[in-house]
Amino acid sequence: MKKLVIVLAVAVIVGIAFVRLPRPQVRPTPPVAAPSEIADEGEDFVFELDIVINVERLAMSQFAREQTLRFYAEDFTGDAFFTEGERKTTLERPWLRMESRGSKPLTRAELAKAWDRFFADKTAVLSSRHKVSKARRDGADGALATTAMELELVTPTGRVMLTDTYETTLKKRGGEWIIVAQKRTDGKVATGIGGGLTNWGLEVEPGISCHGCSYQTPILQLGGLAAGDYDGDGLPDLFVQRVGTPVLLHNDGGGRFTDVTQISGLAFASAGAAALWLDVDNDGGLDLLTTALCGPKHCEGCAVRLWHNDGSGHFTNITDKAGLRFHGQCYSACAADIDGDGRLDLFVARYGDPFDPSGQINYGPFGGSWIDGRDAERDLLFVQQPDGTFKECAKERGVDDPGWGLAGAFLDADGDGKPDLYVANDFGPDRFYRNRGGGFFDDATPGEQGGPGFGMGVTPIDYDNDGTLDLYISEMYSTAGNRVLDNSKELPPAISEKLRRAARGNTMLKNDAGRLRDVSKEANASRAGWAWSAASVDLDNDGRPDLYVANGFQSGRSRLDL
Amino acid sequence: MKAQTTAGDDRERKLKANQDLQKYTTDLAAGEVKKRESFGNLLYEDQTKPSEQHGLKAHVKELSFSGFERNPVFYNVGGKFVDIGGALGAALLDDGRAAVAADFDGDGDDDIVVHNVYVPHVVAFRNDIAREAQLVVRLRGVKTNRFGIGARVVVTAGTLKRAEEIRCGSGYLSAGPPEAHFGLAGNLATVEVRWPTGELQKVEGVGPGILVFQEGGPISTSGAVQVKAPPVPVVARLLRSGDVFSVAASYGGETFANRFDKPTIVHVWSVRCFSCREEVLRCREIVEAARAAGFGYVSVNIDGKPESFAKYAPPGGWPVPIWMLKGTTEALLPAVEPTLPAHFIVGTDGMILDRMVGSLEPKELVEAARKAAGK
Repeated sequence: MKKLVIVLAVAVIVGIAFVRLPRPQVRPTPPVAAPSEIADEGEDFVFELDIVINVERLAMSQFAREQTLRFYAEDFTGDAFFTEGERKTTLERPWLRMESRGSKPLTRAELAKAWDRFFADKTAVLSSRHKVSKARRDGADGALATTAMELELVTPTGRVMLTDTYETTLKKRGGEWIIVAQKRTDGKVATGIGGGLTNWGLEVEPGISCHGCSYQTPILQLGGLAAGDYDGDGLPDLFVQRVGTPVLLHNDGGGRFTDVTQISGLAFASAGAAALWLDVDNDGGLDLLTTALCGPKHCEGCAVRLWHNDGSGHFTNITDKAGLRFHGQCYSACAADIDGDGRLDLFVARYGDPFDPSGQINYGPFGGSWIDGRDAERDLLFVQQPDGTFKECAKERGVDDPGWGLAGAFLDADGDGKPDLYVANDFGPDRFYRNRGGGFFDDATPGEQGGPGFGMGVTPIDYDNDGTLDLYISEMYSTAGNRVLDNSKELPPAISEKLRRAARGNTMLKNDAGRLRDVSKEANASRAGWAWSAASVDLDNDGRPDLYVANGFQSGRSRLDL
Repeated sequence: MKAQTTAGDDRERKLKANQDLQKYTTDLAAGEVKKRESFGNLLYEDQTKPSEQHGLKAHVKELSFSGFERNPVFYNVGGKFVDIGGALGAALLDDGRAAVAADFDGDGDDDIVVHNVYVPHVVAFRNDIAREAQLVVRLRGVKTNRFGIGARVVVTAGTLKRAEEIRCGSGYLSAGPPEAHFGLAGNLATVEVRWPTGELQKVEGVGPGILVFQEGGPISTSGAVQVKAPPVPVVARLLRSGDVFSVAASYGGETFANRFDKPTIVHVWSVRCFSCREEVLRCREIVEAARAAGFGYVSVNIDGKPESFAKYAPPGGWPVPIWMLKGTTEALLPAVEPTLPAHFIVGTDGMILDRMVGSLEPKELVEAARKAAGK
């Protein structure tokens, strides 16, 4: 059973467990169909189908049209991403128009014309993706699938994003899957009007880059940012954590930044993870806390560093003085005054060490548990003492969780004035701690969050404008994982449910007077892929906070996933 | 596709990788890793030559592992979200990690910076969506920590209410500035602050701009920040309450400390501004009034050369030393001129409690300073 669970866990993330027909290594850029079948240990048939249509570079060419039309059977009737249906405006802003796009079936003979009409007013195709999100067998060589399509386009009047869902009927003919019927069940068209988010063209050299890295390499998860006005000139500056030397960018205004790393005294080397601007000594200047990944033997004491700002933008390392010498796989950090003494305290989420010399701690899919990982380094809580030094007391305060911690955030969830703490754990259940006073925490993890998940980030956000902060948790959404689970009949429902939970994407937790309730379905912000940081931001200043989510794990040369 | 390996192979690879990482971390600690390629060469699996990949996306073999995922931008439509990333031009396909929102260009709306694993390493987006400015709430703790981390701010504007906390660290490996930002949708807002000590402060009828709450003290505002303002040099940005007063200035070899032993009136002026020249003729009177009321007085000239202002000295000479802005200031004069002369009321910790633009009678100035400093 355990083996099966692991296999499926791999499948959830990777999408493929055992592939019968090996895929070619290099895929051509033109439209490509990639059907494949997978079986879990031969018994029941689990079936996977990917259609990846890359029309980016060739959108307007005759060749692309022919290559794409190849997927549609001679007797095809239905909708395709380039056919139009009735449009209705669903939302209008001065800078955005949202429309729904209905269904209007066409025959195969009409598709070519529809293609030409569709691309006639398009300047460029920026990206496209056509994925199978659900599929089941229909006879020996047929399949019924739910497919999702995303297309990003440029027109002379602005940018357009199409997001469609289709009910698709497929047949295997001549060894290839082709579409015989397709109905658009949901179509959304988002059109940007005027300026959107404009790339400033900020250039920052990568640190030590992870070219050719295995996906088990921990530094692949790195790269923090901290915005804060360290020199008090009124504009937020930017600290960029990297593997190697970090970068401090002074904000000169107007989108211009100057690299002041050397003169600020912050040119140190580490496998840098997160950073925080915070005034630890309450002297009015923002000091800097940095975290890093560092093993016990080789960089004792540099997993957490504290830098004092002398007020003129020069930083001195006061880690030792502050008693913050620690090692470990330190990821995100957050600060709050947990005991109400006027001094800031620190929480640092710790991960496991994949390269532990003892070999006891294993990382990732081939060791340890994927759904209940309890074998990581314990999280750290540094409580600031009256003399300005810090004392690590995670255990005593009740937050020394051995989960694979990636991030934490303080918020006063129950409105009692004391900061509570939510911790996102990879490979296992998250933790929610309620501050019972004096900086002592009780585990108050709600049942539904106690399940498995791949917690990556915690973002407090009052998403429903009810005057209390809710929580948005970055996790993973896997199309392939969900599809595999849909078709696996062998798994006990309990396990299946856990795996499904793990692959279903980001979670929105509504805060009802301190009780966290899962409202992901209603909030409709789950499908964010392999999500990392989410930033709460009111983009149009309409009073409702929006979310920007950074996602993606590792992009290769081909768009086909492992 | 992941190749199947035996447990033994896997273990051996891990041990090898472990040795490599130990070497790497040792090198790092010694500051010896200078080339970005170094680490890539140490890795153990699916090697490609990094030099050939320089500037390109790296990969494991040829395939992706949840790669090319589009960063969603979830637009909030009343507690429900729709993904509009593609329509905004912000749906990066890169492998993103950290993301932070802050008003980097000071034009009254939040911009976004994303940190990716590969190139482009850092992507900054300027917000060209918002048509009006937001309300920025800054706190100044006395009993509470200095920036008021942990305090709750609830803003009601029109029919919408929204809670925020002054926060330090959220998301993943990310931290925004220690302040709270609110869109007001064209309404005036009621702002309630609950300090961690339980103290409540409330102010009504607030528009866009910066609002500074001092624990146990006054609430000060500064006017609307105009969205879509042209880029303004750094010194011009000083003219806001709630900022820490920071000017690189010198006088006779001394450098400006930006820390004051008592609440201080900082006067900023230029000879190019007529009302400034007029005002400095009366500056002895102003200095005396300020001192009598218990305030320090500092005068900063932004013209860059002592000879440029020497001839404007009042009868009997300067009553206080005139500090000079360091560096070339020619470029920023056009941007700053309309706001001069300016007086900043600065607390002992350097934070600007209030600012006044234009020339003032000594009495008016001292009165305003008293109010700002809560005297």
